[in-house]
Amino acid sequence: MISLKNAIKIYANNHKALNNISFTLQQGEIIGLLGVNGSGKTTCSGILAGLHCITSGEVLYQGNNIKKHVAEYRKNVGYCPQHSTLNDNITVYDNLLQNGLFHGMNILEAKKATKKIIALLNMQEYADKLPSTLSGGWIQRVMIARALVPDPKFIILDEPTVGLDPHIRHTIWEVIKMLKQQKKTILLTTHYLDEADLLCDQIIIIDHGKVVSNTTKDALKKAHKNKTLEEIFIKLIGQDKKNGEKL
Amino acid sequence: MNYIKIISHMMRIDLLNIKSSIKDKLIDALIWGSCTLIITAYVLPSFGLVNFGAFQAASVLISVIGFETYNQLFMLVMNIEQKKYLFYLFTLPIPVALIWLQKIISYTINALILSSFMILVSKLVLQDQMPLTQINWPLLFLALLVSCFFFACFLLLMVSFVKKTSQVEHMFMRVVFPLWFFGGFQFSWNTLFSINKYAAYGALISPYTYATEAVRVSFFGQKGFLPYWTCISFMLIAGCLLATIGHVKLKKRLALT
Repeated sequence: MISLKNAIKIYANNHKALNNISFTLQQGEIIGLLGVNGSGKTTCSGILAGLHCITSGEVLYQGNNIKKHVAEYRKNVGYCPQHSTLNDNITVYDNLLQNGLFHGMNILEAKKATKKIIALLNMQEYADKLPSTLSGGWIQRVMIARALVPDPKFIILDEPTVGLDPHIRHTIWEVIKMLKQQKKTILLTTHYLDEADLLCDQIIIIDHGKVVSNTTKDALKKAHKNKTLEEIFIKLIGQDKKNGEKL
Repeated sequence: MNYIKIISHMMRIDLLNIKSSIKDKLIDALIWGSCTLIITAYVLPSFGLVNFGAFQAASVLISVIGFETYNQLFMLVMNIEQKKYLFYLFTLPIPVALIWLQKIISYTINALILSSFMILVSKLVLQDQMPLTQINWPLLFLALLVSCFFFACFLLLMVSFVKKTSQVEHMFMRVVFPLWFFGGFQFSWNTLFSINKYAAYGALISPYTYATEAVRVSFFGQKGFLPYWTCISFMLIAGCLLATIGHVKLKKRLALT
């Protein structure tokens, strides 16, 4: 469905964030993109969201390079970055509604989709609030909700549970599971390995901008004699377990 | 995808933002503009200086646009620095260039409201010193509209240079303030030319020169000022050029598609 082929990303400050990365995301799967801080996860998700360009290589959507049709491609993508990009001057409801309108829905369709998503994610109580009054967990939920309004085929969740309380993480996980039931393709970047273990079908581990492993979760565990994902991750990344506080 | 539709939705949101913040901005403009005009029209003449209240009013109409540009610069740099709402707009199904175009339209409208309000403030403060019947209103409106458009474009260029909010102040003091003060805030370009022609040629670098001269033509007639249509043409062409440079630089810096 979506492929990243030989992607190299060098930023203006000469930092090489991606070093010849290739992988494919299959429809209806949750793909976990794992790596330590600075490994290139966010760069990857930004590129797949159509936000950032790559220095060389290709992003293919249904076999076509998105470069010439990036604006059109973005219609198919729901992107939730790490930090809030909500409009703090309008209500949660309006943030969701606007995203529908921005993606070509007419006002009736956008209202219907907004109400549906609000009900689906149990957000009725917060619909009329301003995003600046919400907690971190609710902001993440609103961000996911906003991305879902135009009914995208491909959803990118960039560390959606980072810094959240355990019970809120579980709530977000339930939302992600629900999206999987709807056959959405989801790219989940995370450095919480329990999260990846629970939710993902395919695991891509990247380090220093390179793919060090790309296989299904089950195949990965089998290849490493049923060790935990955390043990496999540390082995592959070559880091001391004690250093990986967040893992 | 109908880009005009998306832009109109973005405009609607921006107009709501303008509506919610305009009251405070008008109060700020009222206080600053009134103080400036009271001093120039009523205090300075008591020292034997020439009363140039109406002349100064033209500067005030443009200066308020410049100050608003500074406010918007701060907000925009903060938005980019903290990767806020603007980054969401960059993920919408619309080319980035059109997002900037929409922002330029939005900033133009915002500045035009403030600048138009300053006509009222000027009249209230200056009373008979500013006869409204002498003003060429179509020329004034066009001069303000084009000035607002120019400064919105100039804003985009400044954003492309300023990476952190802590640098905004430096940009203002080192670049904007000299351009403003030497851009005919208190004198016409011809006056400067009669004193020092090199300084006058230097003042042509400042966009404030063209903006204030165009407004003064609409107030006092063409005689004694830079040609009106030259000023308008300069601001339109330079505005488009600066916005393009700003867009290209930002696209590269932020690695946008």
